[in-house]
Amino acid sequence: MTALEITGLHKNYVDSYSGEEVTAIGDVSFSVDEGEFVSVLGPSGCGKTTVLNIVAGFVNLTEGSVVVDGREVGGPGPDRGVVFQSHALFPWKTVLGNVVFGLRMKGVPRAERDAKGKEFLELVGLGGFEHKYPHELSGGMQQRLGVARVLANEPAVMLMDEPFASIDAQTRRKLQEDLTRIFEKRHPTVFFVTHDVDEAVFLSDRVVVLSQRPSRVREIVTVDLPRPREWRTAVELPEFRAIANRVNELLVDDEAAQDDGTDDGSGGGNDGDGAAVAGV
Amino acid sequence: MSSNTADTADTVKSARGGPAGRTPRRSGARPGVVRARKVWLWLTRRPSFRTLGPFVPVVALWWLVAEMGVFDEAFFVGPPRVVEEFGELMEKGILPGYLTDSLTRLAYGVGFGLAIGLPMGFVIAMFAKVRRFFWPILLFFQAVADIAWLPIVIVWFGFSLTAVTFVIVYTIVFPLMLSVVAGVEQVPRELLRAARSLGASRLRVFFEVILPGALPSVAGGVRTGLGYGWRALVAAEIIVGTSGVGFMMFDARRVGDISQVFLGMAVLGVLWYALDAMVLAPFERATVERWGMVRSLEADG
Amino acid sequence: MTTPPTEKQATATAAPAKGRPWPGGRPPGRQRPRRRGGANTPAARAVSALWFLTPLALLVVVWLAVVAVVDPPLRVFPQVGDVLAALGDMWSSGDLFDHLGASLRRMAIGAVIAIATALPFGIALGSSAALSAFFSPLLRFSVALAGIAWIPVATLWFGYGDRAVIFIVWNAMFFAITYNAMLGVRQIPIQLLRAARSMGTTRLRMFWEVLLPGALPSVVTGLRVGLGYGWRGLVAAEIIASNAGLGYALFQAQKYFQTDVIIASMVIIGVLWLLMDRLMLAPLEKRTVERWGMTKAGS
Repeated sequence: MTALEITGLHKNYVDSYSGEEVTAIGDVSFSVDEGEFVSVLGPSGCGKTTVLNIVAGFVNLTEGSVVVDGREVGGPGPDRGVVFQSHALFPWKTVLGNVVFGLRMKGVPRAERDAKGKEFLELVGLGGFEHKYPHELSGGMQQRLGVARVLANEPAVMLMDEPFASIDAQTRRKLQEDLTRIFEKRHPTVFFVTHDVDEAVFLSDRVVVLSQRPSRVREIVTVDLPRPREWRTAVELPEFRAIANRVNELLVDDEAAQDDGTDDGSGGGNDGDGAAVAGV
Repeated sequence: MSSNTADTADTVKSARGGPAGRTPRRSGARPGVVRARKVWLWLTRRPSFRTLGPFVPVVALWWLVAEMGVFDEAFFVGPPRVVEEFGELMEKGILPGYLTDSLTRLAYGVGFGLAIGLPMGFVIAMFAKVRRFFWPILLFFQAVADIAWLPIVIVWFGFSLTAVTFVIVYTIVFPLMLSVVAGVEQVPRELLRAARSLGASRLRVFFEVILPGALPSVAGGVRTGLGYGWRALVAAEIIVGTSGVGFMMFDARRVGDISQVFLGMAVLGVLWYALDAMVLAPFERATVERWGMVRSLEADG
Repeated sequence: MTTPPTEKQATATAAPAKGRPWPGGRPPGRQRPRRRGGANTPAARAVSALWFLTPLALLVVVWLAVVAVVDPPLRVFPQVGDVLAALGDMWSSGDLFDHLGASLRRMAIGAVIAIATALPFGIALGSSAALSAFFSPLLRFSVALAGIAWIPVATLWFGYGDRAVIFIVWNAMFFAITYNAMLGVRQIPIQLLRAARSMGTTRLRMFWEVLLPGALPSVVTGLRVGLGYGWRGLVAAEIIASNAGLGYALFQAQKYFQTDVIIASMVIIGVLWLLMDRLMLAPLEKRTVERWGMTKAGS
């Protein structure tokens, strides 16, 4: 069953400096099945984060449709939990306070939500840290908390926006393995944005490769590596390398094509984030 | 300014001239809408518009409320009465005279305040032992609100320029010293180490690293100090009362001339804004913001 | 300039371990010091209290000595004993409590109204980019004008007395708190707002759960600035427009050249302000902004 369906997505926005209308997303369509892990990958500045922000409801789309769990998306909602690159934990709430935030907003009674919050903290390996504050945790632990906070809310889709980009390489590997373990255990639906090819291949069931701005779907690569996965064995697999190379080629091709073409530089900069912030 | 105008004219033209560059889809953007949007964007980027624009509806509202006669004329007057009063007092030479008095006092107070507060602040900030000893005293004197000094100062100096200056200096010195200490502590240690390892002597480290590094906080301190000094000036003029804008307001209140009271407030506000825009802001722009240090946020609002 | 910068750093980092060397509050804007073990032992507390009181005691000694040597007339400067006697008189006659009570009551009423009105207003302004851009220059104008400059109008509108003084306290605090609350909300990272929205937070809960705590570092700054303005406004307004309160006591004493009463009132005003800072603002800051590891907004 399809959990997330994106069809004919377009995004134009007005550049706040020049007043010009810029097309960030040309035409993007793909879907994510229930219990599936799909990554979106693309050259920097291609608008992948914008796609995620549209799905999350932070940014309005110009054309097309985004359907989650059979309902058209309009504004942010608890059916789509977001894990942010910057963690976005509430500094004024304890670890437990952060995990149960979504449940409190739903009006779940205290005893129930605390039990559930603790369960998810255990799941991500943060048992015993309930009464710490986020600033007392390391970066890796903060992001574990970010994941637990979303999972505890049991969204239809978990959206992850380059969640491990600001974490050191060693910890990142560990977090990726833990995320895979959690995924294999619980099978949440995950929509994962990254610019790290190996990460995308390691984690995903399918990888959506986007083109340069205005972005379109170049290809959707299926990753049929066996699960459970761990880095030590995965990198040894010839299939892993083959798929990673394939994805890399797609990205490199695209950059070459861009260099040949008329790049007037309007695609530079960030993902057009914050250009048209909806409701927030 | 003129180059900016030309610039905008250009972009407006190119927008009307059809799709330029890589913008294949411009969904239903009519030229009129585009142009209006651009003018608005251009306007909202002008600092003067962003600063002064909001006052237009506020003054209009003030006018409207006064015209509708919501409040008694003896307690509330509209902009025309204030402007009229302004013309009258300018003509009689009362307002220029009072303004000069007020500004002279402020200048004396600020001058002495900076001359005393900055060096003392840096001495206290640089020498840990001195700071440790003087910190409680500093806190205590800062806690004794400046205005509470007025009575004793009047006892000492009578109703004079010295009395007013003393109070203004007092108000400025303490916040200034506190912010200098904070500023020196904010200088990242790496910068000090970098300078030392590049061969700077201790004296040069002070002038080349600590002094500029402390500037954002010092600039903030000057602003705070001036804000307090400004208040102290008004209070002193009301209480000591021989001349000045504060005196004018209180004198007008005594005879029940509300339009002069309103005028006094408007003058005080405009004066503060001018001071801020012509002295403080350019200083901050030339230093702190130019170097990309913190304060730009506040300027943005 | 003989002290090397390194020594300054050494003391700066060592300071928290020795207990807080400045119990009256830290220099504004300093990074929060993390309390380490031992800083709160009775011995460490005694040492830091000693560090705080010794300079003040020395100041009193200097005062004693200078007045003893110069021997100015009482109408110019009082001896320490005179001030203590004046305090004793004020205590036994009950004047002290009348004036203190009047001042503190006005301050409390004005402050409560100011906080209750300014916080919701400032946070509402901050949650919209357009509103805050519009109100920003207006608020800065008002902050500059707030408090004392309103005394003539206030006395005209409310007459001489309590209501005018309370209006001045409110007015002095309102704009500073509003402006800083607005800035505080603008400084909340957009990701935090988005995180809250994506977990289904309603508008009302947003205020309590996200906007208010998120803006708190800046709000505390605003409270401190506002209370400072309000306190000064209170003293000035009492001097001009009332017949009770510390400001009034000061002014009466000035009429009769009672420098002992003047200095006694000034000391009371200073001590009250330090107490307000220590008993209200510092604990608020310690329990929230510092505990949560949020950096303090500069003042």
